[in-house]
Amino acid sequence: MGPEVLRNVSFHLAPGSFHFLTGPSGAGKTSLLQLLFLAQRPTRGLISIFGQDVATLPRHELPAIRRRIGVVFQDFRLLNHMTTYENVALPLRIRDAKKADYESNVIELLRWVGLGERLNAIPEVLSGGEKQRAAIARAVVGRPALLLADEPTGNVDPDLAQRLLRLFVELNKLGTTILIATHDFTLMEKFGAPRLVLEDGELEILS
Amino acid sequence: MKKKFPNTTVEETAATATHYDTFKQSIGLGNLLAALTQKNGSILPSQTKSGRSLTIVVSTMCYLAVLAIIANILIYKSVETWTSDVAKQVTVQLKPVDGESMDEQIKNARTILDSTPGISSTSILSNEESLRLLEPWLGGGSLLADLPVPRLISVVIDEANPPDFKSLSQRLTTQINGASLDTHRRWQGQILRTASALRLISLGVLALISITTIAIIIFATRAAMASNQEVISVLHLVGAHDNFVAGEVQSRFFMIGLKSGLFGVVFGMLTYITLGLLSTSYLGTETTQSGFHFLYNSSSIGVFGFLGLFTVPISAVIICIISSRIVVLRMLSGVL
Repeated sequence: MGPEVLRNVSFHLAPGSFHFLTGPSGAGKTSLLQLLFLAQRPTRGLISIFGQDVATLPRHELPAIRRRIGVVFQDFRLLNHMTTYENVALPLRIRDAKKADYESNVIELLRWVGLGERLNAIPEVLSGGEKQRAAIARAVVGRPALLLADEPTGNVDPDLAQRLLRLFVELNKLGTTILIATHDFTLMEKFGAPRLVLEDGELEILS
Repeated sequence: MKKKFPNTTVEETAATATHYDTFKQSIGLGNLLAALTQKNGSILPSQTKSGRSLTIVVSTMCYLAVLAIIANILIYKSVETWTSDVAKQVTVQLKPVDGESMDEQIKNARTILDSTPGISSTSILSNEESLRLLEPWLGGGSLLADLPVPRLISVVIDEANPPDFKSLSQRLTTQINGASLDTHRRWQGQILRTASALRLISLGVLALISITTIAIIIFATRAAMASNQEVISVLHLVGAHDNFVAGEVQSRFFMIGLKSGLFGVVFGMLTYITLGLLSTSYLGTETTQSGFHFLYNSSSIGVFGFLGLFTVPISAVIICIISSRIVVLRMLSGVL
C-alpha cells in the first residue's frame, strides 16, 4: 500500500450546492475527485453518494451512479477515433438513447460551447481549449445530478473561462450539485462559492 | 468560517437508475444486437490490420474444418454405398481339381444354390470374365490361357431373408471338391473398421480446430481489450455497463466469425470441386485415381452435406461471440 493521500477528509455537499475545490498541486484534489467519480475506492472511511456507500457498493451497481455524475477530466479523456459530436453524445449512447432523440440537443450544446463548427473534427485536430469545451459538453450532456470538474478552465482564455463557469452556474440553478477543482483564484473570487481547501491531504471548508 | 463534517456525502437529487432487462444482460444478446444494428459505428476504434490478420487465421481454421467435414461425409457415404453393395452378394469359388470336370462342379454348385432358400439369383462368370479379373495382376497373353483359373459364381442374396451361410458353405465344401464360399464379411469388417478410424480422426481434427479457434479468439480478445484500455475506462466512467462493453467487443468478433466461416465454406467447396475434377483427369497413378474415384464417384456430399457445411460459419460465430464475451466479462470484473 502506498502513502496515505487523504486523511480526516469529511465534508457534505448539499443537493444543488456549488463548491470549488482548491489547494496546492499534489494536495490530493485529483485523488479526491477520483474517489467521488468512482475511479478509485477508499482504503478506509465512508463515501456516501446519492445515499449509497460507494466504498462497499457491488460493481454492477456502480454504472447507475456514474450515469448521474458528470466528470470533466483534467486531461479531457476524449476518444481520439470519434468526432467531437460522437464524444459528446457518448454518455447518451451508452444509455441506449435513440440518436433522433438526442442529436439536436447535442448539436445545440456544442454550439453553445463554441464548437458548432467542429462537430465532425476528431480530438487530435482540436486545440487545448476546444478539447476542454468538448470534455465539458460531454460531462453535462446527460444532465448529471452531480458535476465534478478537474481544472475545467485551465486551457481557455479568461473570457471563455467565465462563459464556461456560467454554464456550470446555469446547471446548478437547474439542481445539479457542482464541485470544481481549480487554482484560478480570480474565478473563485468572482463566483464566490464555498471552497474546499485541501492541503497536505487534509481538508478545510471556507464559506 | 471553518466547518468540519463527519462524513463525505453527496445527497440524492435526481432520477432513479435505469433497470436493464436481466435476461438480455445475462446472455449479452441485447447488447450484441444493439452493437450490430447501431448506425453510429463502433465505439471501439477499428483495428483494420489486426482484424484482417485475425480473419485470415480464423478463415484458415474454418477452411480446415470444412475439409474435415467433407472428408467425414465422403468416407461415410462411400463406405455405406460400398458395403451395402457387397453385403448383397456372396461368391462361390470353384478351383480346378484333377480328374473332375469344371462343368460338373458348376452344375453341382448351381443345384445346391438353387435349393437354398434366401438366394435371389446366381450368375456364373465365364472363363473369359474370370481371366479378365486376373489380368491386372498377371497380365494378358498366353500365360493366363495355360493356367488353371478358378471359376466364380456371383450369388445375389435376399437381404430380407438371407441364407444360412455356415450351412451353405458346409454343403458346398463337402459335396463339391475345390468349392468354397466367400461371404466378403471379413473385408467388410476391415473396411468398416478403417472407415470408423478415419471418421474418428476427422472428428478429432474438428475438435482440435475448435479448441485452437477458441484459443485464438481468447488471445485476440485480450489483445483488443489491452489496446482499448483507455476507451473502456472512459466508457466505464460515463456509466457503461460491462454488458455494453462486451456487446461492442462481441459485435466485432461476430463479424470476424461470420466472414471467416463463409470464406471457409467457399474455399472448402472450391477445393472439393477442384479435387473432383482432378480425380477424373490429371491424377497420375491408377491407384491414386481409383482412390479418388472411390470417394468422388460412388457418392457426393449431397444437398444435406452441403447444408451441413454451414455449421462451420454458425459454429465460428458462436465460438467467437461466446469466447470473447467470457474473456471481456472476466477482464472487466477485475477493474472498478
